[in-house]
Amino acid sequence: MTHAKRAGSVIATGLALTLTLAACGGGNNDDGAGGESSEQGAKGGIVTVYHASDFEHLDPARAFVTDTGMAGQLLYRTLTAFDWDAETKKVELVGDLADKWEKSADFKTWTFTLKDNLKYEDGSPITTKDIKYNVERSFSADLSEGAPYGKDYLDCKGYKGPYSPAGNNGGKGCTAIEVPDDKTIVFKLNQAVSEFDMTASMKIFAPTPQAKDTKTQYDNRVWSSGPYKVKSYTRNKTLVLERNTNWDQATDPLRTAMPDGFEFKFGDDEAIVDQRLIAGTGADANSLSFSPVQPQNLSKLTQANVKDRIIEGTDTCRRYIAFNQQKPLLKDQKLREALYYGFDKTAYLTARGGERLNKPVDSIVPESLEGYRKNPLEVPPTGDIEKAKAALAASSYKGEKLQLGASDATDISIKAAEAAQAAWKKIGVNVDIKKIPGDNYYSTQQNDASATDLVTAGWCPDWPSLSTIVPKVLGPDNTAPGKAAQNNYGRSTIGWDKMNEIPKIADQKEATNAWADVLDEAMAAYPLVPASADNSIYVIGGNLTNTSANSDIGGLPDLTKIALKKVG
Amino acid sequence: MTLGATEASPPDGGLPSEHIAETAEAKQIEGRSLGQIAWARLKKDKVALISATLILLIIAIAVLAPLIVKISGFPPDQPNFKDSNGNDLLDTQLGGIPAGGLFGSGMSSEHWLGVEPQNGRDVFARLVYGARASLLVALGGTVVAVVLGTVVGMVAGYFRGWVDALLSRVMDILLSFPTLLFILALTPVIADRAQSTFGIPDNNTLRMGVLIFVLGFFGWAYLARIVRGQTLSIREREFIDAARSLGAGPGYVIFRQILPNLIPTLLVYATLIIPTYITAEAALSFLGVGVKEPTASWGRMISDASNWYEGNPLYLFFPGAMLFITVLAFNLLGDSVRDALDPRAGRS
Repeated sequence: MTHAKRAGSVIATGLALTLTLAACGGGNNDDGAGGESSEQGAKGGIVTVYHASDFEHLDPARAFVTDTGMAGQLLYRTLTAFDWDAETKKVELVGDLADKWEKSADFKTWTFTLKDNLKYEDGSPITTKDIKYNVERSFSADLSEGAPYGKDYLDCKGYKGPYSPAGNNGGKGCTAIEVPDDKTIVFKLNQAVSEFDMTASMKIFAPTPQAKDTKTQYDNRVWSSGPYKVKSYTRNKTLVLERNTNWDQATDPLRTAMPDGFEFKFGDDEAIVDQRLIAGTGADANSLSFSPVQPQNLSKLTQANVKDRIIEGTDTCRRYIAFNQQKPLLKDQKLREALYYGFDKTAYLTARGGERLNKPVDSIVPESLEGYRKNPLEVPPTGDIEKAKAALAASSYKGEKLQLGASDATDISIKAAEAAQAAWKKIGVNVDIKKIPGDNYYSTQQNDASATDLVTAGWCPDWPSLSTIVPKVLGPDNTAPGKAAQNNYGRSTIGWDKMNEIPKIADQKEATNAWADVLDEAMAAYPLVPASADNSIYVIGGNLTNTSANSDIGGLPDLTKIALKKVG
Repeated sequence: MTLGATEASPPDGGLPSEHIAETAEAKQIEGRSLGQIAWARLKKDKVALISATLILLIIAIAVLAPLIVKISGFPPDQPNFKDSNGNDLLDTQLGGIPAGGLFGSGMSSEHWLGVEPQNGRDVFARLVYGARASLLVALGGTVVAVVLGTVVGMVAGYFRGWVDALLSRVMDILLSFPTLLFILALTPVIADRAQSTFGIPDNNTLRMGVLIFVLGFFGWAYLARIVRGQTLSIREREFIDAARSLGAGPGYVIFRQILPNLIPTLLVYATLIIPTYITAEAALSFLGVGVKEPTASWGRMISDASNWYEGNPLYLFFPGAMLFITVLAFNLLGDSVRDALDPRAGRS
C-alpha cells in the first residue's frame, strides 16, 4: 500500500505561502534543486524559520494551509504521511503512526493498526481513541477550517462534533469510527474511496487527547506526538519548538529530527529577511524563510556567496481569483464572463515577479495530473478585451465597485491585485482592493459575512486525484443544504448533484473522466479565473544541510530532514 | 493678500505706530496697512519668490495632472509591458525590473522617468498624480487644523475662566498624544467602522477624508494655544473695550475685532503646517494606511521603490525629490511670510 505519488497539502496561498507556490508537478521539474546537500549534518542546534505572518491554525483539526502542513510535521504525526525524497523529487506514502492498514473489497471500510512504542510528549501512549477524537473535532462548526474529508467521507450523517450544545452523540461520537482496542481504528465510509490511505495523511488524522483539548485555544498549545513540542508560542511573534524526548526515531520513517529545536519568527519584513539571508552571516547561517526570494533580489542569486545556497522547486498548487456568487452583482454570469476574459495573466504574473517565479496556468488542475484537460475556453494570456467588453455590455453591471481581497502579508500579493485591478479597469469594471491580514486571510474569505466579491485564492491537491480538487474548489459542503464547500470561494453551485454521485463510480478511470466533465461544466459558468503556478526560490543559511523545496507541501522548504552542518 | 485689518496692528500685538514708522518709507505720506507692507517686503525676498513659484508650479501640476498625462501619453494606472517597438519594458526573468534605461529605471523617450517594476506603470504619470494626493490631504488637513485651532483658541482666550481652563486641558491632552502612532492606529479603524457601521464604502474619498480629519484633529491644539495667547492680549486692548462699550456681543468681538488681528499669525502657521502634513501623508502612505491602491501617492511610491533601490535607484529618487522640493518650498515660504509680517523675529 505504498503509492509513490505526489500529493500536496492544502490551500496554500495567501499567506505564507503566499508568495510562493509553484507550478507543475509532474515530470518537468528537473530544474530547481541547485545546492541541495546530502551531507548528513550534525545533531543539535536551532533552525530559525522566518515567516511573513503567523500560522492561522496549528490545531490539527484546523490546519489546512501549506505552512501549517509543514510546521505540523514537526509537532504531530498522522496515520499515514507522504515522505518527501529530495533526490527523486517524489513522495511516497508511508505509515506514520499506522503500522499497516487494510481495506474492504468495496473500499468502504478501512482498518488501521498503530505501531508499538508511540508516545506523546509526556510519555503517555498514543491511542487510536485520540485519533478518533481529533477526527470528531473536525466535525465541529467552531473548528471548521481543517480538512473536510472526515465530514465528507465518514458515514455519520448529522454528527456535529464532540462539544456541546450538540453533544457527543450520547458519548458514542461519530459512529463511523470504531476503536476496538487502543491500537486499532476502523473507518466506515459513506462512499467508496480507493485512496483513503492517502486521506489518512491529512492533519485531522493526528491524535489529540481529550484531556489536552482546549477547543479553539488548542492552536496555542498543541499536544505533541511528533519529534518536537511547543516550548513557547507568542502569537504573531515567535513559536519556539524544543525536542520531544519521548519521540522515538525508530518508529518514524519520515523525520530525522536532527536539530534540537526550531524557532519560527513571524512578521519580519520580507525585504529585510531577504537581505539577511542573502548576507547569511552570524545566526542567519542557521536560518531560512517560508517566503521565497522577493522579485527585486533575483539578480543577486548569481553572487558567489549566494549561488550555492539556493533551493528551488515547483508544486502542484494553482492560484486563481474566484468570483463570489453570493454577491448579487456576481450572480450575473455575464459579469463573471467579462471578468474572466478581461483578466490579464501576463500582467498578473509580472506583478508576481515574472516568469522566473511563476508560470501561467489555464486550469485549477495541474497539467501533470490524470484528468487534466486543456481549457476549452481559448483566452490569450493578456485577456480577450473584445469578448470581455461584449459580455459586460450584456450584463447588468453599472459601474459598481467590486472588492478584491488580497493578503497584506506580502507586497507581491498587493502588487498582483493592482495588476488585476488595472486589467479590469480597462474593460470598465471598477475594483477596490481590500487588504486582509495574512494570518486571518482564509478564515475571512471562508466566512460568508466577511468574504469579498473577488477572492484571491490558491489550491493544492491533497493527493493526486481530481477528487481533491474539483469538489473542494467548486463543490458543496454537504452538512447543510445549499452551503458551498469551505474552499469554494466563488460559492459556485453548478454540478453539485453530479459531484455527489461521482464517488459512487467504482472505476477509477471513469471517475476521473466524470470529474473532468463536471469541472468543464462548472467552469463554463465562469466561477473563477485560473491565474498562475509558482516556482519558489529560497535562499537558505549556509550552515543548513538536507534542504529542499518540498513540492508536496506547497513548495515550502522541507523541515522534516533538515539539519545543521556544524553545531556550536 | 487681504490683510486689511480693521485696526492695524502687528501680529504680536506690539506697537503699531513705531512699526510703521520704522518700515514705511518716509516720502510716502499716505498710511499703508500691514498687509501692504508685508506684501512689499515679501516681493523683495528672492527666496520667497522662488519658493512661491515652485509651489504654484506644483499646484499647477496637481490641478492639470490629466492634461499633463495626456501629453506624456501614459495614464497613471495603466500597466505598460512593451514599448512602441514591441520591446519588453520589464525583465520578467529578473522579477520584473525595468529592462534598460539609466540605472535600470527604464527611462526612455516614451517613459520620461521610466516605468515601475512589476506593474509597469509610468513613473512620470504617477509622480504627477501623486502631487494631487499630497496637496489635497495636506491642504485639507491644514484647513481643518486652522479652523478648529482658531475657533477654540479664540473662545478660550476671550472667555477665560472655566471655559479657558477646560479647553486648555483638552489642548494639553491632545498635545501629549503620540500623534503619529495614534493616526497609524486610528486611520484603518475609522475607515473600517465607516464601512461596517455606516455603510460608507471604503473608497479613496473616504480614505482621504479620514486622513484630512485625523491630521487636522491632532494638529489644531498647538495652533489653538498660540491663538489663545494672542487673544488674551488682544482682548485687553482699547479698541476691544470701545467695541464692547458700544454694545458689541462676544460673537462680534471675536470674529470681527479679534480674528482680523490674528490673520498674520494664522498665515504664518498655516504655511508651516502644510509641509509637515505633506510629510505626514507620505509617511502614512509609506506605512500602508494612506490612500488606496491604485491611487498614486509619493509616500507609497517611496515605499514600493525602497524594495528596488539597489537595482533601480532612480525609482526611489524621483518621488523623494518631489517630496523634498515641495516640503522645502513650503517651509521657506513660511519663513519668508513670517519675516515679512514680523521683521523683528526674522533673519537680518
